[in-house]
Amino acid sequence: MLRRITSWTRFVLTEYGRSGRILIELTITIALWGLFLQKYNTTTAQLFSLTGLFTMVLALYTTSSILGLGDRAQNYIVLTRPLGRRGFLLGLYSAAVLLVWAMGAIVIALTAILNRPPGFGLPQLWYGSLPLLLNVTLISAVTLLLSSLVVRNIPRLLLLAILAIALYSNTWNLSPVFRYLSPLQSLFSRLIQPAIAGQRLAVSRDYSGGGLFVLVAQFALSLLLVNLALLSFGKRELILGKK
Amino acid sequence: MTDTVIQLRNLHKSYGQLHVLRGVDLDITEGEAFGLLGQNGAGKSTLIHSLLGLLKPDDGTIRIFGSRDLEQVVKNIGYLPERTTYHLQFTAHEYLRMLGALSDLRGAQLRERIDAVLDLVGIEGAADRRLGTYSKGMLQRLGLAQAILHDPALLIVDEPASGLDPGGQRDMAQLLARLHKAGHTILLCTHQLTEVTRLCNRVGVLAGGRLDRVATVADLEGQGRSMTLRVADLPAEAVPMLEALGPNVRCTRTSVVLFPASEQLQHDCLAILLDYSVHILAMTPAADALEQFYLSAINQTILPPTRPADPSAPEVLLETLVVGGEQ
Repeated sequence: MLRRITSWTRFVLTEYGRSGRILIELTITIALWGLFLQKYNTTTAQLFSLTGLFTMVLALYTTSSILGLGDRAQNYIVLTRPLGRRGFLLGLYSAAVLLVWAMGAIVIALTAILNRPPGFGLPQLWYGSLPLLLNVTLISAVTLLLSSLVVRNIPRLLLLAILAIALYSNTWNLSPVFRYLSPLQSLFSRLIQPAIAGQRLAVSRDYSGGGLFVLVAQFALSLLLVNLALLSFGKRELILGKK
Repeated sequence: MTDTVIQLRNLHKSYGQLHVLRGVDLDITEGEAFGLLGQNGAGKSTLIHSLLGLLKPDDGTIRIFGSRDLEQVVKNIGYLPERTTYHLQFTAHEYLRMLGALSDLRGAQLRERIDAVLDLVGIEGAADRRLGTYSKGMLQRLGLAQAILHDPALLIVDEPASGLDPGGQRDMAQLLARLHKAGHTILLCTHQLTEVTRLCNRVGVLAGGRLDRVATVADLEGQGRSMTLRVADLPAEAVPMLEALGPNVRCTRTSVVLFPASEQLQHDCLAILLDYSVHILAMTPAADALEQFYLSAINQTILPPTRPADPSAPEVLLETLVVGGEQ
């Protein structure tokens, strides 16, 4: 199964590259580095803070874009092979995660080589990168679960509502209605804690206060979301787009 | 039954209020080529997508090679979709290499299979060209190549001649006939009745969400063709003479329908008409048996084998048939 998924992932990445879509990621990546990390005296904390935010946003974009490639009629031929639905979706997900990891690596590598922050070394790279990599898997998993390829419209709206409530901050005071949602907010906001804690961990690189637990939580939540997506995708009707 | 490749029982599928499949039953045995006919929107693609696990039936059972678990048997299925689109950035070699890897073919075995199927479908010369440069016919050949790449026992082919010119249609039919001869079981979904006649052992018409009309092509061909003779005014005294020729003759005041129209029957009928000096306006061969079978199943026309109660019926029916045949 792993070999099938690897073949499919390689194919998706090759197609993504040949279609020219990858130029968008590369351009944004180089632009980000050029604008924020090349000119100034960057600290390691700034490097991981910026790269963390960047890769999270990029994970949203790239995963959506690659899932768009999956939602095409030519994939009926792929889906009716032993790869199956699970392998198909895991291949798309893996391709998106690998691509965003590669872009994050480019930002860090360029900075390390051309504008090295003081005190930046292999341990810093390792401790800072790990939570960022896991945050990419987490955000890509959320995007996967919210995509039209994986869930139908009504459950998707429900999931989006949960996400909106989780992300809502009481300090915004946008509407008094949200007061009634505060119990739900405190419940759902726990779902995004691993991502927030992961970003903080990447910036601080201080694992003394339960850093490993954060990594485990990021990994476990990613796993849970991907499995939910696989479950939903396995049960749904597949009527792929005609693009 | 161990040799049943596809077994459908009471298959139902709806899209909201639209009930597309209403209890479809079907058995296809090993080595058989089954032609699935039906109008646009009759549910042929829904049936095929249900077989392939892309759609979830509301009710009923699907067994392929005796198993209800598609994942266990998918290796033995090759699928050519209707109006296939392709990953156009790749060459045929690259594309087949990826699909072969997804079917667990590797190394030398994969290379050999790719060369063999490209040779079989006749696009080996263009194997290193990007698919974006392929003609419709070449893409359809590639579609067949990918479907047989892993040498599946069952081939599900949805409108293989769609969009092809007559030459391409003939080539595709010949390719499928070769595969059938080589022992592949084929489920062919098509609008092309000639394709079915050339290739299939049995044919079924999906109409009204059911597959009630199934017949062997040999039986249908044995029924022969019908013929209508349009006459100016058939004298009443000629009618018993004509009808005495057999139950295959139906008369109205302006026509005589022969079904099936054997040469002897035509000869005898013409002799009687000439004896009575009947002015023959036209002799029109009607649709062949398969076409009549198809049209009758989809309720556009009925040409029943027994004499209709209404003596004017054959003429009305035949006109419908001719109009249907021209479409």
